[in-house]
Amino acid sequence: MPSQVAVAWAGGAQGAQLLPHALTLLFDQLTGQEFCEFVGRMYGLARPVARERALELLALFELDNQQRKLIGEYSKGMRKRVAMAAALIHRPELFLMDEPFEGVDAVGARLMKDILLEQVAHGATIFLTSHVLEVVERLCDRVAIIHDGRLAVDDSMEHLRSGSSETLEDIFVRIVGGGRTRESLEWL
Amino acid sequence: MALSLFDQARAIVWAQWRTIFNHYPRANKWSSGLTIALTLVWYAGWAAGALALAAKLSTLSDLNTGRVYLAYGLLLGFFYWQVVPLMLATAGIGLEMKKLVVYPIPHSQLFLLDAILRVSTGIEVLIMIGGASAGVMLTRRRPWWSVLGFVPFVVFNLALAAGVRELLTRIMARRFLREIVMFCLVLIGALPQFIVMAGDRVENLPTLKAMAAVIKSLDVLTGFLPWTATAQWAMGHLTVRVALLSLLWTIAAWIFGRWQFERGLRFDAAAAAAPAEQAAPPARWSEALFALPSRIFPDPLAAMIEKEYRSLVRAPRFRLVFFMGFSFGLLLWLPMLLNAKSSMGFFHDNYLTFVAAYALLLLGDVCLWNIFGFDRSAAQAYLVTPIKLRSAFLAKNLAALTFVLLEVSIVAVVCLLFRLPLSVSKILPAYLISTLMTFTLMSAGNLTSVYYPQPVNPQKSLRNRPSAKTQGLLMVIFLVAAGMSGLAYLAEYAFENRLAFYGVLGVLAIVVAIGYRISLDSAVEAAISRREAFISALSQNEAVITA
Repeated sequence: MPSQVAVAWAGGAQGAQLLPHALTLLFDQLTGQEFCEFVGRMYGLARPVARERALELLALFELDNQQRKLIGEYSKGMRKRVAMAAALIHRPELFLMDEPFEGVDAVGARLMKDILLEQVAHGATIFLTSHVLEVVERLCDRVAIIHDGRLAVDDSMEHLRSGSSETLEDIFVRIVGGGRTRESLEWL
Repeated sequence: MALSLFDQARAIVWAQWRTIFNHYPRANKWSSGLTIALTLVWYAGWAAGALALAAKLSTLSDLNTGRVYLAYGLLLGFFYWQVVPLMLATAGIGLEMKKLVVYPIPHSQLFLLDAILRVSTGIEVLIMIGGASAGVMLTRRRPWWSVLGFVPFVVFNLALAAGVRELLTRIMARRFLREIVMFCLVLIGALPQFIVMAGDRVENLPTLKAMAAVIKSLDVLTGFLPWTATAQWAMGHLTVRVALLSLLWTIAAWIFGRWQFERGLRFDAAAAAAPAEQAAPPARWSEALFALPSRIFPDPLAAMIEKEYRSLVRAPRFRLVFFMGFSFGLLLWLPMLLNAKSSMGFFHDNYLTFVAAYALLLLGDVCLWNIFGFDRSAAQAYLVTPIKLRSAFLAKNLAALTFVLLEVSIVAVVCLLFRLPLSVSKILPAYLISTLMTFTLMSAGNLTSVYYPQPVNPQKSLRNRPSAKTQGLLMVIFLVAAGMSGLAYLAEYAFENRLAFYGVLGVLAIVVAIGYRISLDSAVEAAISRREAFISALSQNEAVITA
């Protein structure tokens, strides 16, 4: 766990269900379709339904042309996308995500954001940790900042701004970076 | 959505099957067909063995003898069942149960599934137990419940295998410990061959005699062991003691397996592999070794060689093969040294050279054939920074040569420590031939590194086997290099003069130097002209595993 991180969430679902999104939880020796199908079955989907949804999700995330490729052979962005596809297969109400857009290309990231916002609109909650504060600011309606392992802030974006033109980055630096001294390097 | 444990179990078993299936090459139909055919032949062989066992047990009249042999057979089965999962865990086959902890399934059920999945790693033993069961059932002189004796033994093995696998997985995640374990496993693997080849010379060693005496004194425990109890039960000799023993061993294995499984679920492999926060300062001798290139070469070449030293010694894969070079290699050639018959005279006289050549073969995998495999990110830097690519090749080659010569020195020291016959007249040719072979292999290796680059995870002690074609090519190159050095020995034999040996070595050195120069230029040119394919190949597969 990093010592400084922005934790943010959007939406507010009841009866939430967790989902595996961490890249380390992917099975490298399975193909993307096999993995999605497996996750669906683990969450109680019938095999034909899981298979059908897996194919649709892989097509949505543009991974359907890599059917024989193992997850271990995927690029980082592809791994993020297949993890997201697997996360969606059983329509969970709570998403736990750690730097979900890191290493994903712009088009893929936009697609993922659109899908997540759509899920929020349908009542899901997204809980994500990120160092990319612009993404947090744009996606989330509530933000928590952890500094040195302690919760420094936990408030809504609206309250944090409190009418000022401060960005989340400004707020973050003000809260966690105020004590830092900038050392000057003469040769630099 | 209703969650059914049975459906989840089916999904896990299916994923396990796909994992094993995907592990084998799938792109080539012939290769897949060959794999299937070999698998069928393999299991057919075991099935034939099981049938023979069934036939033998069904006609056995001496129950006492049968009990003893069955106990030995079950002991072998026990070892087989426990060792195969260990090998699979290190090779990465099979589902990691830890990854299933995020799904809505109780840990106790996960362990049950994990134990059941251990069936897949002991199929050979189960086939033989099936044969033994058939043999027991076909005998009219034994009661029907005799066959039930195998059930607790199977459960015992399943639970123990699950626990041992978890334990080993945790050990293998720790720095240095995994190399020690792998090293011990490799040495244990080489011991039978060593004992068979060395024959009575080894049997008479005092250490082995003492070990045999200790094992003999443990005979009193034989009656309490699980395979003995199972054999007694299966041969119709079921007593309260036998039943209790079988039950107790099974319960103990289950508790051990469950305990290890739970610890495995909570284990943080990344934290275990990370260096301690208060790391000890680097040893002076290693720092002196690392700084050595700066005393000989100018920067940036010296800095790059130093970087190679530091990177290689920190890679578990390199450390393992380096240690294997002077341990396993020596163990492999030692029987020939002990059996100093006239036909083996040549090997006997030049064993140091042979051990050094074997070490070179092992080291080739990590620092000769695929020199950019370990630092694929650096390969990109070499192409975009002002560093000359030629310097990168030279740095890697010089670092490899250093380790080869260090390996030969260690082999020589180990031989001297064990008081094996060794003289300067044997040490010098070993160094010269190792250097000559290293340059020959580097000439080919620089080209293969550019034309067939493969990303390698340096954190893995074992790596996936390269394709049969690549292996064949590497072996041919190695044999050519060895054959060239053999010319020097041939000259000495033909002219019966040691000077002829050194004369031919001198000529070969000139030829190899010219060849090395040409191949270095070609490799640099090729790396620049096909940089896209080169970098792309290094970014495949293993690159994302460490992401």
